[in-house]
Amino acid sequence: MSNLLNYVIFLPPLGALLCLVMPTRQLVKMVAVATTGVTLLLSLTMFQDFAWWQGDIFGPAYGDGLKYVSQVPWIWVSKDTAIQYFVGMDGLSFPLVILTTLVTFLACLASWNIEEWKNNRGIKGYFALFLLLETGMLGVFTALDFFLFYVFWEVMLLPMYFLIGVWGGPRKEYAAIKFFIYTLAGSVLMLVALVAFYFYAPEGHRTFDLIKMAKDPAIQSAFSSATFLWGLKFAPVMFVFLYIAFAVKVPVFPFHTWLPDAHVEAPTPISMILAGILLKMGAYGLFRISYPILPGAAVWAAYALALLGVVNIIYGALCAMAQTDFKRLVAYSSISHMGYVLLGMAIMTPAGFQGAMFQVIAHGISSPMCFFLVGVIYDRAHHREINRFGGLWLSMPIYGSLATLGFFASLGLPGLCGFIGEIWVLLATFSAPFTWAKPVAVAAAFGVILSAAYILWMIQRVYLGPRREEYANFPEATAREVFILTPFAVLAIALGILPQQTAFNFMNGTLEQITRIVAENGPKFAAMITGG
Amino acid sequence: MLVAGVAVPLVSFLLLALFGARLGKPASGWVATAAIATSCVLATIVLYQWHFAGVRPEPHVFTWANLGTIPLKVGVNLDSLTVIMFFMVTFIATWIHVFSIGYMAGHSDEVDGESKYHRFFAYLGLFCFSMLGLVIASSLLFLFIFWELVGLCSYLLIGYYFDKKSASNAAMKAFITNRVGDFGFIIGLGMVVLFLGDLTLDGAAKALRVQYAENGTLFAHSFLGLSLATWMGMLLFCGAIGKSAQFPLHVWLPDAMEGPTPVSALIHAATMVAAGVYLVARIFVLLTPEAQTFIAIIGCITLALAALIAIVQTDIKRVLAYSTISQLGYMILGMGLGAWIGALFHLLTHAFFKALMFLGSGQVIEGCHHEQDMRKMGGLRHKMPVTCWTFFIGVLAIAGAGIPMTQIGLGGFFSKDEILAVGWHRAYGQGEVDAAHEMEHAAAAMPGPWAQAQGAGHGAVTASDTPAGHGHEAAAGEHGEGHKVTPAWPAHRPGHWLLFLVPVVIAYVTPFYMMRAWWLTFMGKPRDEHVYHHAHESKLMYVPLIVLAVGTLFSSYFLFRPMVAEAVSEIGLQQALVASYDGGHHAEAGLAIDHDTHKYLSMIVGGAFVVGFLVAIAIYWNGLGLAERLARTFQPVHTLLVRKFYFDELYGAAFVGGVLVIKRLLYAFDKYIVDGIVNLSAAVTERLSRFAGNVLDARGVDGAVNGVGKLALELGGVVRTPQDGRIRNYILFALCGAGVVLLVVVRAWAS
Repeated sequence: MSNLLNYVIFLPPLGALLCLVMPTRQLVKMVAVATTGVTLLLSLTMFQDFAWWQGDIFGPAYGDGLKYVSQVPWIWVSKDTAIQYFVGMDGLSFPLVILTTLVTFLACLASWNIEEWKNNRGIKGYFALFLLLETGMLGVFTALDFFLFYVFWEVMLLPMYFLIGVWGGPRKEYAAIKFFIYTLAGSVLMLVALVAFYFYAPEGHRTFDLIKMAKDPAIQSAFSSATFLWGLKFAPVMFVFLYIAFAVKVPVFPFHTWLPDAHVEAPTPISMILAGILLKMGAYGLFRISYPILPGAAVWAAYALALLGVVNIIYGALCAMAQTDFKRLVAYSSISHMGYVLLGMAIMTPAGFQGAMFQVIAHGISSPMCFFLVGVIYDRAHHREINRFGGLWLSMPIYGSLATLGFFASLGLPGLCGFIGEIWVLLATFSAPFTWAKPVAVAAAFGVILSAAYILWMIQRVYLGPRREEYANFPEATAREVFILTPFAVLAIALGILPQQTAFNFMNGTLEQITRIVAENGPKFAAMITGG
Repeated sequence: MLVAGVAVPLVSFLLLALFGARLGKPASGWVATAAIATSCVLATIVLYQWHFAGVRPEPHVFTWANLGTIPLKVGVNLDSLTVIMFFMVTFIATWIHVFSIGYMAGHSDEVDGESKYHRFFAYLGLFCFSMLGLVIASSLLFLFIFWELVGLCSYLLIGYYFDKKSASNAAMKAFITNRVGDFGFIIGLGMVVLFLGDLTLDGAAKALRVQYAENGTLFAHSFLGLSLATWMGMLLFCGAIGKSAQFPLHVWLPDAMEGPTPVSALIHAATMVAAGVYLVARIFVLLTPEAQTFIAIIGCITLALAALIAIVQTDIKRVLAYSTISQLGYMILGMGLGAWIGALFHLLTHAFFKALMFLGSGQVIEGCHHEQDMRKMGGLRHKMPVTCWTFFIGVLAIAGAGIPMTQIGLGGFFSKDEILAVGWHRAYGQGEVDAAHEMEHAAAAMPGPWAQAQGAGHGAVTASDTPAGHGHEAAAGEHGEGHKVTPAWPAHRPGHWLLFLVPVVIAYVTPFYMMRAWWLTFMGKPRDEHVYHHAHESKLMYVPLIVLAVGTLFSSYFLFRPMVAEAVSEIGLQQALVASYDGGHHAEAGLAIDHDTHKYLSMIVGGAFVVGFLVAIAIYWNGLGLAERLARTFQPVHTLLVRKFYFDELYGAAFVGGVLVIKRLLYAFDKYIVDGIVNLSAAVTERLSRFAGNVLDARGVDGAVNGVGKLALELGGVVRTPQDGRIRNYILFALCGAGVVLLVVVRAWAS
């Protein structure tokens, strides 16, 4: 049982190998879907150990309540420290692991019609890379050793590069290289932090263990008091490095321009994964590494982070409104929605962390759904010009209803998942103990008007209005398409109505522990940063 | 039981959403009607038990989720106001459902022969669910959640004929305008969480009293000259400005008439738009005098603007829409003045007569084959007598018809009178008398409400605690337990004579434009043979009219007012910061204001409906001729009114245009500046890497990189693209960069 997590992580590459030797296309697809399906089922069995009714399942302190832990030394760096193979799950990882296996499974199903794609460049390679990608993502969400985290982070990068660069649209090379360089530039900074974290820890305390780094007072005080280069303090510099590494992934303004390009060029299932999971790795990294290990710097940078969050919300929404490409619009809306995550984190109160983490999950549900909805009509119309559509609800009533639901979830309508994250973050920001919090909250609240505006305007242009001749005979969504959309729709409603049971109960324990770490150590170390 | 009443329409929605297409045309309508009728029966039982049998069930409350450390509670807010509102909504909704079955029968197949009929009733079910949820919500957060959901239903139903551009535009306008109001509401919610730490209505009210007694943050700090408590009230009220179509966000409601007429009757007249007033009634306990004045002013502007615009409208539904806005203005004004009972009383009576009139207009429109222009109607009394006379009852009710100095009259007569009476009292009533003295006097005269004890242990409220400008000391009557007395501020505010005068003048305008509409439609000679020829009425549609007309005639004074008055003591309105004029007066005591006021008022306004009617009849006796001559004489005024004071144009230019420009600018910034920098740095890097690759030519590294690249490419089973030379360079550069940085770090550590 304790190996279950390892099976989940490493089942996909086995499936990938199997894919490569399958004789027919049909078999390749079946193997891929079966692999993601089994991975999903295995991950779902973990619910038995994360039962919310069991009370405080994460132990009293950060890292005590880890489940499905595997911890073995991997590479010895000195005679008493080793890079470990250390994976495990707490309230932060678990929802994201489930999200990953689910979205990957559905995206795999969404790839079923790959033969019909204009830019189908081979099926074996596609599915093999696809499955490899899943391992990278699952690894990132479960790795508790910084080095291992970094390895998985890079493992994810390459398949994604090829999936966009080979199976993408007309400007695929540009988009793929942009994505690759951006992420790589970020990971270089992460690599610096990785090495520096090791060497700046006092002798005898050196480790790559993320949990230990967060909890060891010796390491903590060393990080806060050390100087890096040219008189710059160690902690803030590392925080900024890590922040940029993760900000690229989130993405945070001004590191965001790879995202619309990547989305527009990527095939639909890849967009689903990109928006649903890859963006979450940035947020997860901040939660897992930046905040617990560098609490002082987090407090020090809070204002700037909150401002960046608000810029994301407003700027993303306005840019989304300016789009005429359907997919680009959804891509910019992702930027806007991830702004709430950044803002909630910057607030550092329990409510803020909850809101941010919930928004991560909610966006992981709503954005793949929206991208798939775009994909469905792209498959039929072979273009994505919003202004050329119209009246689609008439031709495709079931699809139209599901689309309305999906986009309203993204808009943040109460009763659907998008609302909870938004309102939690907004209310948390209002009640945050910072003088700057209130104006920031007011500015962020302005986002609710903008998001309503761009989404409703898009719905009007695409789904409402008189029927157009060229789309009048569009076939209704197929059973496969409805099957993919349904889990998203159900989850969007379930998360919106029962946020406590579906999400908060899983993650609150761990989030509280991180809040406590930040609250206890943050101000103290922040004073050291600004004071000396 | 009320929860069951809320759930039944939801079940109907789910049924219809999933299987509606299979149920087909009349069946799905009857399913929805049966559901809401069940709710109505449940509501009636609760009403009976509550009002007549005096049953007071224990409320159940449970925690929905935790916002940080604040538990968010879900529960049913059960008091007389809830019960009567619930009854009103279910009752009217039931009859509107019945009407809709008839109305939609001829409407649903317009779009490509494909039936959206079931969708209409599914949305109605969802609406009823959300509206009832809103009514019973006990916390501001849930109020907001259902608030948004009714907004969604409104959006879906306005846009029901979404193949029409105007309908989808109107739907979008409604939703976004409401969101502007919600923006304020969310900020208000944020302030409640921040300063009061409790989103339940009771909890927030209690916390506010503690703040007030201790001169807490909300009262001690101010922003732009107004205390934070005032801001909180005003911001929460912003939600109501949007939903109840108050100035300056009133622009969406007339456009919302693009929806099917039963929807206009149910959502955009009787229930949803009144939710704003209901909200103010619920947050009344949180309002400061300044916030109330703000509310009153907004209401006053709205009622005047809308009534004036209504004079020149020619579309029968738009006349009703503007009259709705105007009447909502009266309610909001009433709330702002402290006429809590009067405003809610007016809400309930208005729901009946406005639903009645909208359904009547629906009957007319349906009968005349979608002709909405009153100039083409006329003389319809012969063709649709039931509609004509039930509509007339509605006109009488909105005009406030009644016999002055007696208790005989229609709902609107009493409810509007009550609001105006409070306005009078506030403006002129004992203004010169020393305030403190007056309050003592009042306390002595009405021991119940004024002398209500403040929560134990909060001590006395002294004059120094009360904000300047309203520094009247609270009346200091002693209660049984010996606590000092609240409310903190006396209710009357001398000098607000405009808030009295304007509504009085508009009370003369209202009967005029309503009589004009009725006369143009039903009386006189037919002006368009074609329309007249087709006119007919249908039974399924006029039964609801009769029921609502009977309701308008009889139920209001005997049921509504006592229920509302009862609610005052139940929700502890005496705990409000500002005294309402109604505090604690029970039904048997009659109106809260002394009889003299009513006598004067009766003389001033009592006959208004007669005057208004006569003027309207005089002008429109012979059709449109005289009116057109008048319009020419007063050309500029007429144009201003026809253009609705140019609000749409103004907003179109200022806000919509502004956002469109900004979004374009920002996207250009994104595309050319942010991305430009990215591309530039990429180009520079590429050059640099070429230089590095060609000149330095680190063969070993290059070979290794090539190897890795090849391996990866082959692993993917990928045909190499011509561009991979660039990839190689990028990887190379990245690795070199990493190496350099690593070196720096190691050096930094070593030194």
